Amino acid sequence: MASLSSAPTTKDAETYWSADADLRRHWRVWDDEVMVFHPKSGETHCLNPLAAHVLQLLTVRAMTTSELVDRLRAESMGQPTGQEIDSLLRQFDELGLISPST
Amino acid sequence: MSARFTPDGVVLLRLLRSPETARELSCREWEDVLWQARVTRLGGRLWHQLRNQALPPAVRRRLSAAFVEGEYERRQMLWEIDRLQAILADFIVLKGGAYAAAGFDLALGRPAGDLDIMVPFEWLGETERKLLERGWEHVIIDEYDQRYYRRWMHELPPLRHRERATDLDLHHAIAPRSSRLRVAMAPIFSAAVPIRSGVRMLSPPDLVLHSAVHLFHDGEVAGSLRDLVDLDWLLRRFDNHEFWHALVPRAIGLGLGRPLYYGLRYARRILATPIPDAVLRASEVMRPPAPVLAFMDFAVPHALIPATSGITRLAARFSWFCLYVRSHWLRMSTLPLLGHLTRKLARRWRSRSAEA
Amino acid sequence: MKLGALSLDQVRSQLRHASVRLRVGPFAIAVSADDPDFAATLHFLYQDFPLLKDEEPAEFRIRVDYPHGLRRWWRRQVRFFLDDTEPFEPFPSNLAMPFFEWGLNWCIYEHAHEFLIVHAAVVERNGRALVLPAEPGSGKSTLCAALVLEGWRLLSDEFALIAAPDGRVLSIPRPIGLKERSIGIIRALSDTAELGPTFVDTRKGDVAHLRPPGGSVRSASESAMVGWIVFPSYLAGAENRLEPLSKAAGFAKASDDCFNYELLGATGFEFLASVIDNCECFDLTFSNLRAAIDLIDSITAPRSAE
Repeated sequence: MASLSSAPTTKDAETYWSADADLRRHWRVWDDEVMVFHPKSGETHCLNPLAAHVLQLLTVRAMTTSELVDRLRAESMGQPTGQEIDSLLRQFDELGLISPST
Repeated sequence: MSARFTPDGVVLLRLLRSPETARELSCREWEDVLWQARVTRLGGRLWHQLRNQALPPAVRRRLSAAFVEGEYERRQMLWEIDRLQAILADFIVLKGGAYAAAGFDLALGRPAGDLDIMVPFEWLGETERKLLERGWEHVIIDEYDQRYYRRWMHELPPLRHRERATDLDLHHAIAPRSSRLRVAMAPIFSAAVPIRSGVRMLSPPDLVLHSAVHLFHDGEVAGSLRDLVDLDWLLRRFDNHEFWHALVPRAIGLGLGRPLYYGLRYARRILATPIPDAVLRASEVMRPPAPVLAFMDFAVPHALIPATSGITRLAARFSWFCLYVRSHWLRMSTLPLLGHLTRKLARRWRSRSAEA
Repeated sequence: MKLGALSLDQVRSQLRHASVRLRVGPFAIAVSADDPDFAATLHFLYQDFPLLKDEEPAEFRIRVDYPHGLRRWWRRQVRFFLDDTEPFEPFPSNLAMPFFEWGLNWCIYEHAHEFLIVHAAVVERNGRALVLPAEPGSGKSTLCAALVLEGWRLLSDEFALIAAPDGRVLSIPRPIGLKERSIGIIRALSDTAELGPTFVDTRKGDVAHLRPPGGSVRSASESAMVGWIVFPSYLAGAENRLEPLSKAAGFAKASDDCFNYELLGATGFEFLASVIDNCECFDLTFSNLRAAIDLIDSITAPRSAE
């Protein structure tokens, strides 16, 4: 469970994830469903707004789970837990949409 | 097309050799080009060469569509290599995969076929294990074929990805163990060059040799005009002193002199590949006996080039069969040929008639 | 010049000794065939189609032929060729025209990757196209034929061809293939319906073709903006119902009904997305043809605000 306090988190234990910048090129936002095309894999994905936002953030710069939780909170995009974000990131990783950043 | 082969008699070849002759083609010739390109799967390559020329609309449509098909396969190939990088620490990618990963424009619009990768023999078990762990599974379940593949071919039985349904051939050598060609693999592995993290490709002379082996000693030869196009492209691409100087000695050193001889000869005759005289002279030492060469001179063009009349079709079938038998003879020099070949042919005819 | 301007004898002769060369939608086709009955049916169904210009290359050279040997006379068969490729097993020889139609469909969806090809019927009214993606047994062809008889312009009964990221579909009007009961339904619907001969196929059921109206063929070069995608599903005894779909759901369903969505990659995504951007998507369940047409009218009738 990610800590929501302002105490410094042990960032070195957390993975930085980044998403392929190519993912920014082919999107549609239709009501509360987002379609995105992944050029490298040729796959098309349907995402909910939160997932789409996380993916978009990761195309800009690499982030950890805690950073994502903090950021989403700051942007009033709900209060997902670290576990939920971890699970989302794992799915993204499986699909090849994101990878650990060195 | 008469029994004596002339490349200009086949309009697809004429275009491949000299794209600028496109402006002279008649209506009927364009229709033949489209047909030949479709059968040889060279439409995408042709599109790349002709895309800036004025073409009849129907030709633009068909060739650009063929390019789209080839591009799809190229993208899929690159993705598969990407996925393999996450599973395997170090491997060599062969043929189409290598051309795509290296960014060769040969790969543009080129249907890729199966992904072929190669690791040293000692790593095979471990590599197979890692692949099976990550969603790859065996395709051939027939016990006879599994045994055949493992003992006599240079490949493990092909693998298919469970979810993506893509095919992967895992090699440890570039020529069959059971064939007359005994190729030492250590020099090939040590000469391999990196393309990206964990992925390597063969050195330029070895790329050419592998292409030649694939064409002339490695399974069916019929329908490999595309492979000859690859060979021609590579020979033009690596046209530098260092490469030409190394090519023939490398071939002889690895015992691949004969395939290289044929590769150079037929690339030159069919696709007008420019080859330095010194190299041609040096390759003469690899020349086969006159009757063998005469047979190959007749058979190879007929086998590679799509027929345009009923008569040539018969000749092509005959020479294809001869070459197929010959390939198997080379591969399985210590095995009874007849049993396996008959079984394989029986299955081929059966599956052809079942095709709907 | 149109095919209909040639006499039947001329068509027969050209089919046998050379080829009949036609523009079918965006495609240039060359056909040759032995069979005089086939010639007559082709002459009837394709009478409004323009002939290719001299020296204009065809992109699909099709031959409908009798085999050599025994099957030329005994349990007569007919074969379909694209150049010398034979993609199918032979058909009974009385089914030469349906075989030709089927084979031409194959040529298109196998090769025409300059388009995103949706397996769908497409009709148009007042400048907007209605796309009806097909599942087997969906009733798409009957629905399409009925709409055409109601005055909708036929763009295609088989393919929605999308050529550019502007949301428009291209037209390729061809004879509409009707099966079994649909033939009777369409005949009952309109006595002006111009139907070709009924082909009796003991394996798959009877089939007949509705000649595409001359107006549709003449307007073949006019593309249309897609206004609606309706996924039809014929279900005997079901309640006739139209249900709106979200754009994402419509996109997902439509991409499933494409022949080459994956092949086209990013282009496929953009082409389809631009169509979805501009249209509304629905699921249609129907057991009654008239009711289905009424439901379609209810969503496609021009609004005064437009």
